Amino acid sequence: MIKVNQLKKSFNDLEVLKDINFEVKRGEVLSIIGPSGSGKSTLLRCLNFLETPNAGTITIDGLTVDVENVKKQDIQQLRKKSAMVFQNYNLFKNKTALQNVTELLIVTKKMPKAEAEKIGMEYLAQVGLADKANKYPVTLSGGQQQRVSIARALALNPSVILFDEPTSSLDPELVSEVLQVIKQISTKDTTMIIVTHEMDFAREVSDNVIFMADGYIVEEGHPSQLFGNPQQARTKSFIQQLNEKH
Amino acid sequence: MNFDIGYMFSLIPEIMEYIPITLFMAILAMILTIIIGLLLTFMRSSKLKVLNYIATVYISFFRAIPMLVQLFLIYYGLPQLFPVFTKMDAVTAAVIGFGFKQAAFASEIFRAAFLSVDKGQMEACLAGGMTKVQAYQRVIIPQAFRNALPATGNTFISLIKETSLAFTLGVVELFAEAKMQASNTLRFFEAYLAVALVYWAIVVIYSFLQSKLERLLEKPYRT
Ligand SMILES: Nc1ncnc2c1ncn2[C@@H]1O[C@H](COP(=O)(O)OP(=O)(O)O)[C@@H](O)[C@H]1O
Ligand SMILES: [Mg+2]
Repeated sequence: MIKVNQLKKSFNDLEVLKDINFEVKRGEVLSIIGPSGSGKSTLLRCLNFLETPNAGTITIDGLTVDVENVKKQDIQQLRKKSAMVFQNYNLFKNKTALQNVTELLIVTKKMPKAEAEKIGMEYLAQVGLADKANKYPVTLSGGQQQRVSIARALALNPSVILFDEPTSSLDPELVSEVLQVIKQISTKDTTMIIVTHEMDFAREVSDNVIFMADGYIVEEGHPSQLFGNPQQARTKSFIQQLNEKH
Repeated sequence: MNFDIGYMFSLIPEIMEYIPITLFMAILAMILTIIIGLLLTFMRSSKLKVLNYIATVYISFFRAIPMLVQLFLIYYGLPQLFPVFTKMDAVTAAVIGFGFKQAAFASEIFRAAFLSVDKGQMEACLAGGMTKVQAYQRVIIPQAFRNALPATGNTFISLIKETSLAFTLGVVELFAEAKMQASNTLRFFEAYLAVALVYWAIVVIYSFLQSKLERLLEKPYRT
């Protein structure tokens, strides 16, 4: 379903992704953990070319892109196969919750407005915000905004949803409502890649966990394995630190 | 006191007959301001150094020279270099002069307006499969427009007032008409006060309309 091969990315002299290889099967949830600055966001952002990788291949749902040989249309096609949920929600501030969900359907999928609205309402209902359809983002709490952004991603019916620390900007009391929504999606067969610091959550929803450090995948495994019995020293100390914080 | 209030009020309708030419110049100059201002804004954010440089020099130049100097440069100076410009009428010269100058200021307004739309929204558009052009059309420009409106409105008010300088090129607009009335009757105070009141009324009405529009555009941002 998703295959990343020898992916490399540098910002000028800074090598952020050195040699990244992984796979995600259809319907699986992959969590990516690791210290801040280890390249987790950059990795996600390379998958939809918000950052342009320097080398490697990316395959999503049958479309393989060699990043050194990529055309504009390839990027466009690849982007249409994924959806992204950002740390800061990035809702369209001039549009209502419903319009946030329908906008991409209308513009990129050329869907008639009425149909887009019907779908939009279904997904807003799924994240528990049907009653906020006509509210603008500024009037919503962080947790509500993030749920709208999740509805926006779901409505695209993408091959994979990329979550970049979806709860890191939220006040602590709003974290659980968002995690709850993501958990509920994870039980359907949506393929997801989630960068997160929420260990309990990652343990619960993931089929696989990757620990990244210094631009490499240090360790990868089933959550019970990676959290319960990490093999690498760096993984051990990272998980220990996280546990101490709790 | 030597002040004939009746005369002053009788002048107002006569002066008002020149509102169309004043607004005509102001609106055309505003359109030019917006077009060139946007062009400068995009040039300044361009990756091409040379475009960036041209825009910077343009802005520096037109911000520095006085309006009158610029009008004279265009209307009396250019024809000397390029004979085609002898055919240019005074209104055209004035509109070009006003537009070119205000564009230098407007480009700064537009730049700030675009910068204040957070870049995450552009990323959300692109990640969702929109092209850059679609993102600008649907999400970025509408918000930048709202950000730019108050300051751009002030630019328009400046333009309305600046059109009075067109009299120096021989254009008969509000101020030129008042000046003629004044020199006919030697009632300077009445004539200039009358024209001042007309400008005031125009600006008050315009400001009212703009604040209506601002309130409309504010809707998504009210908590
Ligand atoms: N646009 C950029 N330009 C330059 N350096 C960047 C840019 N984005 C990220 N970096 C750098 O790349 C490294 C990895 O960043 P990031 O992927 O955001 O890490 P993480 O998400 O794991 O915290 C950091 O050192 C960061 O400073
Ligand atoms: Mg990050």
